[in-house]
Amino acid sequence: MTRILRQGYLALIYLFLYIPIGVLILFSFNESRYTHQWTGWSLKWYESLANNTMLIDAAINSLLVAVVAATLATMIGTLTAVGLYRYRFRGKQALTSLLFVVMMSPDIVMAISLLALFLTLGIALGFWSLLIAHITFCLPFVVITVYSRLRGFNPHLIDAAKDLGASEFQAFWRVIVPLAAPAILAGWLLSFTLSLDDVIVSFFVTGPGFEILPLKIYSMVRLGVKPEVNALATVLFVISLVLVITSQLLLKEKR
Amino acid sequence: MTEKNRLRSLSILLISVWLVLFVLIPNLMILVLSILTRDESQFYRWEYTWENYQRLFDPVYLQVFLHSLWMAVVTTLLCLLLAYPFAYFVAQAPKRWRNLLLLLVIIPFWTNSLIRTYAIKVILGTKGLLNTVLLELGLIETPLRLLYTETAVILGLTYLLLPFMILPLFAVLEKIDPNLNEAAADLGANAWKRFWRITVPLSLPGVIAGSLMVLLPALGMFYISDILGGAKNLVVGNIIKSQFLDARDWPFGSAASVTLTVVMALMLFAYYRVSRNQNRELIDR
Amino acid sequence: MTKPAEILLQLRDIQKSFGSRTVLDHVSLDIYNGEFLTLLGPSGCGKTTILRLIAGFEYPDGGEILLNGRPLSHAPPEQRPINTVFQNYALFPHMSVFDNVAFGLKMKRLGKDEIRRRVMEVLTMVRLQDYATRRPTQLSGGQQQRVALARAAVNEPALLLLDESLSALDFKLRKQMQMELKALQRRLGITFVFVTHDQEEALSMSDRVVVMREGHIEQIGTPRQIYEQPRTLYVANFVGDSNILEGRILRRLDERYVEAEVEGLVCPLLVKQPLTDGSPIKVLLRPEDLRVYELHEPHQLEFWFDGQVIERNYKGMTLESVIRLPNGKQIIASEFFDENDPDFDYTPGEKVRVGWVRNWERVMTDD
Repeated sequence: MTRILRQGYLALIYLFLYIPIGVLILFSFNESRYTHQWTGWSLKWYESLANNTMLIDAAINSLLVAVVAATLATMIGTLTAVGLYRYRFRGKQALTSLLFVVMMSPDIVMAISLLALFLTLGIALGFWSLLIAHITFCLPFVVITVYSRLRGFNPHLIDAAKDLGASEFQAFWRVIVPLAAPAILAGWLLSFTLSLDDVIVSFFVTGPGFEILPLKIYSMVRLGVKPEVNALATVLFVISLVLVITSQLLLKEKR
Repeated sequence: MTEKNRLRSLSILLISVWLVLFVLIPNLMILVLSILTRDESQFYRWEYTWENYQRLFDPVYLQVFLHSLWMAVVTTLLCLLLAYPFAYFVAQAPKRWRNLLLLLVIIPFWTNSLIRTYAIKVILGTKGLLNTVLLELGLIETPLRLLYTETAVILGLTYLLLPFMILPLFAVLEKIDPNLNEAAADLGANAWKRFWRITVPLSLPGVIAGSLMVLLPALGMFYISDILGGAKNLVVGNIIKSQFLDARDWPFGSAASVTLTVVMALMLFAYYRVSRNQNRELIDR
Repeated sequence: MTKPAEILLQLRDIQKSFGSRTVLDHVSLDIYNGEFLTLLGPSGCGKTTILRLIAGFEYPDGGEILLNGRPLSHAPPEQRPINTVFQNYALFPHMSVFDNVAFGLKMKRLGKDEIRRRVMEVLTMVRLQDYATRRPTQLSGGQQQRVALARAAVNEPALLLLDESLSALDFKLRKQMQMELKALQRRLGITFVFVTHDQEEALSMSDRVVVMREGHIEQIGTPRQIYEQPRTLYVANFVGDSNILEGRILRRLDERYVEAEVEGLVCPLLVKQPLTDGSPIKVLLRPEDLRVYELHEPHQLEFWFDGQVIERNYKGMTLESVIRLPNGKQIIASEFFDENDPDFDYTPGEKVRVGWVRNWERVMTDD
């Protein structure tokens, strides 16, 4: 009985989380352009999406920033986690505090501060400013994920590698990185997710020359969103789902 | 030795430079900006003033601040209420399921939150999905006014921020040693008492962390109120955004931002104190 | 130790502290080529720190470490011809047994064939040749221990360090591994430095034992010297069971003997050190040095206490009795069972005579 209640509750929350996405998917097949009437099944919005290069470009830009930002944030973050784990140095406390500040500051605060910085330094708002901003807000999450994994190690493993003649770099590549791999992967995934989901920071630090999906849609919301957006959301959702399922299957096979 | 130093310097230098350049300096800039004077053409003038902070107490802004805080608090409580049982059940699920269950919480994030907010608008609109369904079922006779209300904003915030409550709660709940519950049972505590005396106190750091991760962003998510709230349900983020992008009053926007940061810092400090006290209590006992 | 004593590694006046806590206080120690040396002491005595200093994980605050006469103090661990078997083995969980053992050779960039040959050779030596492709987590504790040993030994280090390497194993396995370790050490001819807090392990395996206490060396000697001639009460107490009787010298009888009063009993004692009359002494008697006789039994004791058995513990091979002396002091005596004496046992409360075999006592002053 309690088991059914538990599962029922879990199902309800998942329903809550997925209903809006379900709605998008449903209306992407609606023949009508209005969301309050259902006039029949149709694929016409997918056709018009295929011709809407601006929308597709924005989506590709979003993905590009997410992949590059996640990758760079993961590299810097992993190195940072290893540095915090391996070495004692002056200013370590200040450094971890700054990371904590980044993690906890409201997006809007980070957004305007970076905007002020970019304008002051004369950095044009576009791909690079966006990338820097995204890397910055992803960093602390990678550091925390990887660091907590390192903390879980037998501390003698690195000693053992050095004892057997490994240099600091060799110990890093052959022992630390492979052992932290699950956490590094998780850090990447988290960064990728945060970057894709972001609205507020992107809103301030990108310019007209580099449009990404959320901002494109933001400008459309007031004028009325075309169902092409539903189609696009559906396509992206399906792609991510396929990726998740294949990765899960691959992982299972590996085991 | 030198090689060790190279990896060491690389790792420390890279992050230090990054954080100083893209976190410390920008935040200091905002701090300084907040006490400068507005200038139509240059954004700001080097003339010190406290006026920006005084203006925050203008009833117009004060009212937005308090209303935003109110909506954020309600959102936080709602998230806590929804997320606690959820995280608790997931933490007790068989281990091989847990990762998948958590992944399912994260997947919606891959559809940008703005798109999902738009989807909520579609659901809540006067001619939206919910009203249509309710009318069809004959449960209501005239469409409910759902969109552009406080409820819509709180619902949107709850929807978008719920996972930020779930994840920290799960993290602490998963770590609680099941032996503790068994020990409590052994000592005569029933399920209800075990929950209140063991699980809840031990999960408190997660409750606080999750609450902060919901409350703070809820003050800033201007696009939710833009899309779902209408002119009467603004959040602090709307003020800051409009000062920076529309009114071009950077100093005032900065002052609002600094105030937000101070509120955040105070809460973090409280969190730090509570979690430290909790640790001490755990050690002392 | 049949070979001439040739010094392999020297610790000279080593100091080390962590923060305000002094861990090693001017420690000097010579380690001879080919020996099995054990560092023995309770946790926190600095024995593991010595090991980590030799391995290169820590650097001394003062003093010098010499390997074959050349200073080593500041070389990083990867540049020292010294390998370690860690306490919990520290096997790389993401590598197979083969890759674990091959790790050190790969770091030296040896050829594939040579690596393969040497790894398999060592794995065969520890009887794990069939487990090369397994992951460490798929092995039992004893097997993991042997992989750790193979991983260190394959590099043919000048010195092999073992940090409490047997403490994670259960009793029977530990006994077996002690023997294997000793045999392996003889076969490889490598110098072993072994750290343990288990005195029995130290005595049974080592050529020499170094007893440590709070950052300094209390005594260095062969297991036999440590056990039979402990230099201090601390060593006597730490190594083996012991009875410490309090006494005082009454007068010197000749060069070797004094007359003394021990726990109320006046008796002659073997005392070579020059001690003045009246000075307080401690008399160390191992439980097996004591002899217990029932009152009606014939005995060869020249002097004895009239005691009372208050407890007796059956120990398999031996019988251990707790005996209260007339002045209230309790001592422990341990005797082998006598096949010819079926009644060999005491009842608690029984009055007995208890004394020791003359000249087996060891007299010490307070430290």
